[in-house]
Amino acid sequence: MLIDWFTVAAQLVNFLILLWLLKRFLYQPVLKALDEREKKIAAELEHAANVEAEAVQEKAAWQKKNDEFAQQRQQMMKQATDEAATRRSELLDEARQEYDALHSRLLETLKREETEREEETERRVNDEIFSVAGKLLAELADESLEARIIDKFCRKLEAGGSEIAGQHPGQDGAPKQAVVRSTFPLMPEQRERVTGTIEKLIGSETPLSFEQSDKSGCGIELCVDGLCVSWHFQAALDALKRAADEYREHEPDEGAADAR
Amino acid sequence: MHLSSDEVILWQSGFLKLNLTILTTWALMLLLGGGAWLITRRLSTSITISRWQSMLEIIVTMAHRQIGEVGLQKPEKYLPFIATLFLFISTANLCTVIPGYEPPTGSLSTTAALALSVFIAVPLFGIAESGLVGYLKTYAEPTPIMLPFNIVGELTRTMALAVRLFGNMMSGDMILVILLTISPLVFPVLMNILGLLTGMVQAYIFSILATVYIAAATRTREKSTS
Repeated sequence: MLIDWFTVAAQLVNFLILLWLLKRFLYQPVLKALDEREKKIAAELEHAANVEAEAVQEKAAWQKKNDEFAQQRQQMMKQATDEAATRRSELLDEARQEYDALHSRLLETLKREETEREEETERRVNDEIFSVAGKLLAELADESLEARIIDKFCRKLEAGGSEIAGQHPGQDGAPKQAVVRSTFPLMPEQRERVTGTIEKLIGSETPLSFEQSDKSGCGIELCVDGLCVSWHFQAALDALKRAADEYREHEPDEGAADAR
Repeated sequence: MHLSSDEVILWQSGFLKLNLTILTTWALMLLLGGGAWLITRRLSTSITISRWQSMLEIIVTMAHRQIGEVGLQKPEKYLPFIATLFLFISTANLCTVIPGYEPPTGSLSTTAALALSVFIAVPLFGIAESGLVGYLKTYAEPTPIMLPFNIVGELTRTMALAVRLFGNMMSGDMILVILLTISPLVFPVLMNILGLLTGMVQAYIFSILATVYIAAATRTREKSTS
């Protein structure tokens, strides 16, 4: 007999015991572990998905901030560039104005210095001329020269004294004071000569006085109410000066023409 | 020379006796139960797990998936019974590589016991699923004329389960023994390897047939409810 019924029963019991053992120590723990792991993995996946979603949101937020920052930076750069350009333009204008002011001041200074130098030169030349002329006149002055001066003066009065004559009398009809100033004392005959000439010119009722001028050089003048007619070496010197100035003004042109 | 390990009686006292089949089965129970206890006492629920735990998880999940693929709605409900059948038979058959080992599945008593367990489990699962009356009605379907044929079919398929496994395992051992006398070198090794394959295939067939029977018994209920 191939079947032993005791063994069949024993094997059936053995199988049930093995079934319980494996259910207790294999299936339940393994299935439980699998479930827990699946839950854990699902939780981790969910967590990862949440973290990823947060990361995406944060990335978008940072991207937005970066864009805004870049835009702000661009605006600030543009604003700074504009301000710098404006400031540069202002500074250039200020510098140009300052330069113009300094240049004009420099030109004025140079002009003034030139004028002062010219004036100084003129003054020195005059002084020198007058000094030389004074020395010469002082050395040459004598009665014949004074007589010749008075003669010239009288001729001048006779030739061009109409203006003086027109000044006399005044508006109220009263005669004006006539003053004869000379740089040297007039001899009586010289004084008569002068008085005669003046009376011919403006009449004898005009009060006439003689004064000695302390001007340098040598000369004589007649002044009636601020209007003067004179013959003075100073006039000759002025003429000389004018001639010198004209010569100085024309000299560069002629020099340039020569150079050409 | 003996056909079954039942004939090797190690101890006997009246009706009670301890033969090689029972002893080998105890050894296998110790191996399976002890191994499962050793591995599962420190299970890890983290991402990284040990190799042994990974092996057990592969076995359990594959059995779970196979049961689901056959068509049972809640595989975890049938997993202990079917997976235990598969693990016991496959372990018993794989251990034939151990010299002097005689598989308990080569005993008709063991295969009959396993077939009986299926024979008992199928109606139990069917009744649990659709009730006693609902399950009994399945024997009279599609017509009451089929009732005796269904009962006979129930008995014969149980016998077929037992004899198929016993015949395959016993014949493999017998062929091996005979070949050892004819050609002691090389060829028995090849036959041993073939025996391992046959053992695994038989374990798969036995457990998958049990699953199909349970599915047939429970699916009637599902059909009627749908």
